[in-house]
Parts: sequence; structure tokens; C-alpha cells
Amino acid sequence: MTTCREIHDFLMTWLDGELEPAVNERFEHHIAACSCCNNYVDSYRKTVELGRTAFDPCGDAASESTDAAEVHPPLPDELVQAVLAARRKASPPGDGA
Amino acid sequence: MSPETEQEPDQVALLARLRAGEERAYADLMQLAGPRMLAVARRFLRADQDAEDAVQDAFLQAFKNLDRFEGNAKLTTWLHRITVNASLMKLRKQKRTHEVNLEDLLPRYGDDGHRDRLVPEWTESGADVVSVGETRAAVRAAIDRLPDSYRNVLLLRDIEQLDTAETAELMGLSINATKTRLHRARQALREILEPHFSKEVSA
Ligand SMILES: [Zn+2]
Repeated sequence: MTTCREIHDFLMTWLDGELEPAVNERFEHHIAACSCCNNYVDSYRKTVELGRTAFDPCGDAASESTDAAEVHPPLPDELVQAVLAARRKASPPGDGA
Repeated sequence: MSPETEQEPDQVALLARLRAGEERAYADLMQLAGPRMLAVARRFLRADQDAEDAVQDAFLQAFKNLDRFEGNAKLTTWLHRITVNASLMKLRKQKRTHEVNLEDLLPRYGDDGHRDRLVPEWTESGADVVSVGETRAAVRAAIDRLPDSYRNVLLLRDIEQLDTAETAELMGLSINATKTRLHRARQALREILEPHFSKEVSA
């Protein structure tokens, strides 16, 4: 018999479709009959989705953009200059010419 | 989202200029990829200065290894991996002082394998939050409460969208340990978020 704890422990394996068929069937039986596990599965899925979107640049759902370069502020100029200077120092132009 | 193997024409042209050593191309690459790289570094490193240092390290490493970049990935995807790596290296150098024990964040069970309390149903958007922006801020704060070794795996897999093998390599873990850690991190995050999303009025 499958306990709630086993369901919770192997939930990701189940969601990834990596359980043995027989175990898989027991899992689905348990979840269908247990409201606690049902809520757990649902809230686990929501948690993953919330994590996935937590760092999306803007809180405005209307401005969904896939082009990340457009939504992030440009690099600070001092940083750009520092990198360029460090690069020139690492490999001076005309080196080896 | 386009497949990662698909090269964008402007990135191909830029790569050619970089390989030719054109000075202006370095600045162009920073303008193209830099903003996203800084956003990535900020997820791992809490202080702005550390995030900027990681981006600097990442660019210098990229410039040095340009001839090792294989054209089968997008230039920006390659830079993303280098940035993640540079951020983790930087993070490893600083030890967090007040790390919580993950066990304290995980669900508890009785001897019969039942939860110690009922698992409530969750609302769609969060009961006590008024906007998407607030929800996201609450989730970010919750992720930040996870111990670094769990938080990093969650960031790499669920947010940076690296696969299990890549994550395992970056973290120096086995595939199985990486999977377990991701699952535990999600479980702990679920527990932290529950009070915000539970349909029952908080007791
Ligand atoms: Zn159950």
C-alpha cells in the first residue's frame, strides 16, 4: 500500500514519467482517492510554475516578451569600459604582429 | 522560443567580427548579451557589485575562448552558460552565515505516512496578494530563503532552464543527487508559499 509520504517523496519522478508502470498505477489510484495528495500534487505544480515566472522582468501580464534583451536595462557604462580595458590589457592590439 | 541550434543571422555576423578581432565588436557583443547576463548573475548573487564582477569575469572568459565556441549553439546561449558558471564560482567564494536547515522547511509526517496536518487547496493566484508583481516578489523572497545548495539547483533547473546533466556538472553532483535536490527544493518552496496561496483563511 502506498502512503501519502511516498507520494510526496516520489512526486517529481512520477511527474517526469519515470515510475515503473505498476508503481505508476498505484500512485494514480492513491492520488485519485486522497484529497490531501491531490492538493499536494496541484500545489507542487503551481509552485514550479510560480518559480519559473518569479523572475520575469515585468509584473504586467500584458507585456509578455520573449526578447529578454529588450526588457533588461543596459549594462552600466563603467562596467562596459572596465571589461574593454581589461580585455585590451589581456591581449594588446598588435600582439604578436 | 526558437530552438537553440538555430543561429540568428546578426549573431553569426557579430561572431565573424569578433574572430577578426574588430575592437567595436566587443562592445557590440556586450550591448547585445550583457543586460540579460547581468539579470542572470543577479539571481545568484545578492550584491550588485558581485553580479557585475561575475559578468565581467564571464565576458573576459568568453573573449579568451572565442575560438573554442562551436557554432552549434547560439552565441547568447553559450554566454548564458558562462555567466551561470562565473556566478556560481563567485558565490562559492562567499559563505553565507545564516543558512537554514532544509529539514526545517520540509513537510513532516506521522508514523503512518500521513502529513501532520491537512494539505489545503491552493487558489489560482494567491489569496492575499493583489498583483502579479507582488506574487512574483513573494516567490523570489521565498526562493531566497532556501539554503544555497538547494536554491542554486532550483535556479539552474526551473529558472535558467538547464537540463539535469548540465546542472549536475555545474554543481559537482550526481544525476540522482541533482534530481533529489531539485525535488526537495521545490517541496520546501511549496511549504514556504503555502500560507500565501492556501484557500483556507490562515489560522
Ligand atoms: Zn495521500
